[in-house]
Amino acid sequence: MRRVAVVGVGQLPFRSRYPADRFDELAMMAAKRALADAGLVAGDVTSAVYSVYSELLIRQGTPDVMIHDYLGLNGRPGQRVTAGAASGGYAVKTAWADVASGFSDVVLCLGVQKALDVDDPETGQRADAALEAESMTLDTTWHLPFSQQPWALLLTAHMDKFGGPTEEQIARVAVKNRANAVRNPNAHLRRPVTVEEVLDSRLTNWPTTMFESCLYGEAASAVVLVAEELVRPEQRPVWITGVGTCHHNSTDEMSADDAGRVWPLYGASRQAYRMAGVTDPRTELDVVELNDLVAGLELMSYAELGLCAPGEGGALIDEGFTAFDGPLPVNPSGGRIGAGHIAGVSGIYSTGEIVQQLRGEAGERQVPIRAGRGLACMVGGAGLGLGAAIVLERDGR
Amino acid sequence: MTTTGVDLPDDAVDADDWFEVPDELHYYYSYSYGGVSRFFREIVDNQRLTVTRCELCDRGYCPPRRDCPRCWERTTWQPHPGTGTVVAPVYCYWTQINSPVRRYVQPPFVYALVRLDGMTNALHTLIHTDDLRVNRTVRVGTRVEVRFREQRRGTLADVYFVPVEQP
Repeated sequence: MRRVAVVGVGQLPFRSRYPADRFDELAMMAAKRALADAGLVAGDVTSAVYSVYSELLIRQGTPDVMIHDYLGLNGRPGQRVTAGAASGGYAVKTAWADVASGFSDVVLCLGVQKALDVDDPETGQRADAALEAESMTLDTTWHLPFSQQPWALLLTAHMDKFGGPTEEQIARVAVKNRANAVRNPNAHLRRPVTVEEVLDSRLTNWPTTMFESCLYGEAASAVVLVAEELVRPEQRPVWITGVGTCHHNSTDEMSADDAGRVWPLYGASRQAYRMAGVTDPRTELDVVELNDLVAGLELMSYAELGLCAPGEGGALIDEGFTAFDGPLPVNPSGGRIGAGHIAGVSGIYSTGEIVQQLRGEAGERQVPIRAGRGLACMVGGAGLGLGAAIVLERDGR
Repeated sequence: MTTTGVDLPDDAVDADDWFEVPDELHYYYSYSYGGVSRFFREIVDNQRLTVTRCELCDRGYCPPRRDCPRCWERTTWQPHPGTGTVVAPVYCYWTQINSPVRRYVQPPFVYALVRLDGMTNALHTLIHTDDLRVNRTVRVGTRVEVRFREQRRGTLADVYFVPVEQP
């Protein structure tokens, strides 16, 4: 297997809408930035992997064909990956495999998604309409019409089983991530909030409030992966040393043993840790980006990533372990709650964020890099059944 | 070199530069429930709950499965009295304005994973209860019992559950 480096990052800010740009035009902007960052041109790309989550949101099946054509990459291998809010991680894993296997030397891995093109002419509520279209990701026989929020089932089961986290601990995640987003020029929400404001905001699904929920927006993001023999030092390479994905429907059985756990994240992270040789993520990672689709999910994720025992996520936020200035900052970008979210893009964005952190190029949101290693991970899909994890290293030895 | 891109010219958005067109997608479906058709037919025709069981693994399934995911053997059908336990509740105070769940209930409402007695997996369903706004009394372990709607058309929403006993 060949060693694989990320040498280019291209990100568009998360916005509620990009009304003046089609999805293929957004893809072009992200691709330009990623290739410019890598010091490469489109002609250097030997294959492409597209993370485009939903056809319904953009009223376009097989959008990868249109993107590939729009980018002028016709004749070269292309592939679309879709895996809910974990799409980006699955795409990076696919792009990594293209390079590691020798199939391709230079892979453009690009996530793009518009969402607010979906409209409801009667109410004008585009976000509601988009969420309804997104419901088609769920099991259409056995989830609909009820279960728009599988994370909510996991969270109440988790709280019952482990006696926590408390509502205030959950609110602190939103406060942390919104504060982090203030330092991120690409973030969707750059206004800090207090615990009181979070707890006073509208309840969506108890105990989760509106300020503890991610916003759905639009964006595009890309990374460029290359084989070791092509890497130039000026590209500031960051190495992919571990990848993992895991399909595991977390709301199918919920036996006493597995209730309240986010198994896809556990499975994906353990696979990635094994490949990268990570045995103690608490000390061997410098920075983590994860999918805080809701604040409670971030606290549950801490345990799945091996940062604490199941049920102890609340204590971790209390002691500031994952704070911006803590021992292991989680979501310095602001995460999904602060930086923004759209399935398909977020995973690529998180990967790019870790690359920027490990390069020391994260600007105001730069965290200290000691071990030289970071983790980008995502969870999503029906029953939160999809997980992906990417371990990235500055030196990659 | 910046990768944030906020300083690049193609971020500029001029409202005169774009044109928006209204459009819509409509599709109608008539699809078979295949090997679990009996589950829905019994609900619609007889107000009866049926589940499947793998004789080899001694595992019961509701949602029913024609094939056991553990051993891949064909399962057999059994009647079920419709009693079970809440595995995880969701106290829903908001749902999208056009959500199909609004045909049945308006927020706040409770939906839950319910494990029917003797089953390995659990069913997503609505719990009908009156006291949600003040008390969240439906909890993990609450015993529930099935009810059938008067109007049934063969979907998961044809049944709901009511609490019968607290843990």
